[in-house]
Amino acid sequence: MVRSRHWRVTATVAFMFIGAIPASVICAAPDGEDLREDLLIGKSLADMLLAGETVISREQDRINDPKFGDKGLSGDALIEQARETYRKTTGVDPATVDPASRHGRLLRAQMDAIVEVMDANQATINATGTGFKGFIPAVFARLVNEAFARRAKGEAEVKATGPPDRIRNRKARPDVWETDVIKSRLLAPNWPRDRAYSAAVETGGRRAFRVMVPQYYDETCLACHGSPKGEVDITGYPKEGAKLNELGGVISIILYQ
Amino acid sequence: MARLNIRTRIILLSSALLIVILGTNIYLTRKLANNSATLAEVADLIGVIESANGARVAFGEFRYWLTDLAVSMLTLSERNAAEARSRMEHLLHQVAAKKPDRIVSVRAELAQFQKFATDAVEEYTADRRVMGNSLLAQARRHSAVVDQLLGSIVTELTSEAAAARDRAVADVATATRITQGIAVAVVFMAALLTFFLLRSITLPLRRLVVAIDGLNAGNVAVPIPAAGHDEIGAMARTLAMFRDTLTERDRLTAEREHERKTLAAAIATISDGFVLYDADDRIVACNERVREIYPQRADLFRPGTSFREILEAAVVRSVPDLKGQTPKEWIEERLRQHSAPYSVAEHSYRNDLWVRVTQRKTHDGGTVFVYTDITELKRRQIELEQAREGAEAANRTKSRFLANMSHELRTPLNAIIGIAEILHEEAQEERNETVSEPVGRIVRAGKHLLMLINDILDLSKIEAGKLDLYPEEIDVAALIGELTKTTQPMADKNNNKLTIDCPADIGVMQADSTRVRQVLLNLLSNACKFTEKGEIRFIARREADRSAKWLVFTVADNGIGMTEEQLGRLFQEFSQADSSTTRKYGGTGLGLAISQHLCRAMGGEITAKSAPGRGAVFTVRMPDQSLRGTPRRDEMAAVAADFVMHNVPIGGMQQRAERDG
Repeated sequence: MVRSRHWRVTATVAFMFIGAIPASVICAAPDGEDLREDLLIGKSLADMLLAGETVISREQDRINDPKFGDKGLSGDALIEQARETYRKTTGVDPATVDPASRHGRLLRAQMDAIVEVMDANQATINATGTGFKGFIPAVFARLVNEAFARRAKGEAEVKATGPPDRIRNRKARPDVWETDVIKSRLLAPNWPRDRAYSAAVETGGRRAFRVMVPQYYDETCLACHGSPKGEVDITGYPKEGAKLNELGGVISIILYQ
Repeated sequence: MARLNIRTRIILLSSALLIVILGTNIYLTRKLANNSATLAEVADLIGVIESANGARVAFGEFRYWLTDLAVSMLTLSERNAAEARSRMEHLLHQVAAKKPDRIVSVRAELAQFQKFATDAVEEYTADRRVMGNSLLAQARRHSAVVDQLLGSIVTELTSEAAAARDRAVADVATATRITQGIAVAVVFMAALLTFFLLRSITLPLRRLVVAIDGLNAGNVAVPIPAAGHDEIGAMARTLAMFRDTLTERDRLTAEREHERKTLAAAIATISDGFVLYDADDRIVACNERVREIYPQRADLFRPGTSFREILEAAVVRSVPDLKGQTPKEWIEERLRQHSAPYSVAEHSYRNDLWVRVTQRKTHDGGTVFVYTDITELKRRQIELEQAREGAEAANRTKSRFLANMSHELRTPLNAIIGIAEILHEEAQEERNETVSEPVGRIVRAGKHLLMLINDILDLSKIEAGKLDLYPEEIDVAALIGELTKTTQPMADKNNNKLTIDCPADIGVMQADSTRVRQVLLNLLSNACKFTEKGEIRFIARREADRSAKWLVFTVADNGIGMTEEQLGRLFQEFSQADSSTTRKYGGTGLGLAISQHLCRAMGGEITAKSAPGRGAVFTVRMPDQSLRGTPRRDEMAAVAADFVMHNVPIGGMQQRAERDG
């Protein structure tokens, strides 16, 4: 019982870490229709990623059950649930987004990436005899982002990052721009909660529109990231000593022009 | 050693042992200090070895976390790697203090490893596995070198530490051997010295104990060991003094015992009763004689009885003569006498017992009583008293008789002489030799008889105490002149020269002039009588000694003189120098005795000096104020009249003086 609750907690952390971003607070560069569309795309990609993570989080107990073999979480099965979640969050069914549009193309690439990741990890998910399998929402998100990067290569990237001292995987380390935005904007005392930051920034020698969506620790996050600092959490990682409502992570989206 | 006292000996022994122990301690301390330094060096080396080993372990961790990072990508691994690297650096720094050159090599290789490994991680992060593997392979090569270098450093340090430790162990072993050797030597030396020290104390001490035991047993002849310079010597000296004191005490005790016995024997032997009371007036000792003196109280004369008990018993049993006192008063008086330091009292008892009680306080407040039975003495004294009183009465009767008889004898004799003189004068006028010669004899014999009777009368008066003196002021020079005139014919008779020596201002004296004249005339006539063709000197002087002033008359002649024996009885009645003198020179032999009596009655004295054939010197010393009282004039007149009445008929004083011899 205890073990199963731990997995659920971990899943919840992952979910909350991703968080939902209310459209009203997205701070977009107000310059022109393209930028408005970029912001919408960024938000949409973030929401889809969070929807996938939500499902994975919800399914953690099943994933980590050592007795069951087939968890029934194939790529298709999962994307159906994620699509439903996305619809509930945004009020938009992904299927209604024009596949020919940039938004539709990127959203579909992301959804395909989710299917790919799930299908590629069926052996892990369905393995019996092993409890905690490490297939948590964060890992899921990274794998999805990596797969998305390959599919939308040269067009867009999605990345889960955060304040440097909160980063556990070095691949999630913020780059220079991200670090600066986190420190000077998102961590600024007067930065309104949940407000995203976006800007047109040259990235990798190309013009790009970048969106930074902040995620905050809630009670469930602190089970692994809270106090006492240094105590080992369920994944075997020392807790950061974080406090409620502190900035815990950022979903960083790059839309190349 | 015996020359030192015990304290010095013990101090010397202790000092010697302490010095050895101190020396050993210093040696051991220095060895320990060296050893400590070596051990500190070993400890230091061990610390460095630990640091080197730690550095090796830290390097392993560093390597591990970098590898882990390459796989997990976790920033935690990256931080752990950095921490391990930092720790390793710190430990390398510590080792560098000992092995700087080697650590330089280690650091160089470490830097190479870190560079390649970090690069590899970056490659893995960027998902370039082939490049990452290649870099990691290069890193592994440097890692092996670092590991090997650190291993060899640990080996070197370990062998150095072992060498130092072996050195320390060897030093300790040497020091232990030397110390053990010293300890054995010290124990041996201490035992030897202690033995000799104890021997130097116990031997004389034992001899001393033997001597003390001997003295305790009363053997003063026990030998006392010779006195050394130490404390035992002092004890021996003290013991010798103690023995001397003991000997002296024994001697004194024996002496006192002897004295006590002698005294006891003396007290027991003396004919007087002896009682010694202590300061509380209780009898300490008494002899048998006192019980004999007081048989009624014999049971009380024993040690412990108080003086008051004796007195109370005396009242009850011995019936003393209380001399009119009540028994209580008598006892109180006796007690009062008893408190005096010395007293002699005679007590009579009704059973005719007389006891003389002599008491004297002793130095310690006690009292010695000596009871002498004087009953016999008292009886004789009373008898003597009675005999004396009888004799005196008889003598007084005789004197009265003689005085009366002289008077009665003189009256008819005056008649005989007067008539015989008339007859003699008539016969001479008639030239009747036949009658004149016998009548002349009658006159001479009668006068001699009268002279004799006069002397006896004087003597009787003196002895009967009826001699009366009539002092008056006498002009001494006139007296001398008068006497010279009277004496000159007597001097001429034997062809003697009479020399007078009298200061003209000799003044006057108070005396009975008749008696003074009688005395001097007696001496002058004697001088004339016993000197032929010689010189008679008559000297008058005033003298003074401490007590009084004197008038001194001296009559000196160079006549026949006297022997010592004759001088001895010169002033006795009826005595002349010898019996032949009376026959040859005449005289009654009463003159000088009377003169002496008269002089003494006037407060003076006659003394005589003489030797046979060398004359005689008679000296009369009369006090300047020879008589104290002055009789009333009428009494003097009466006596003078009486005197004159008896003398005038036969030629007065001058004639008397001429006849006196």
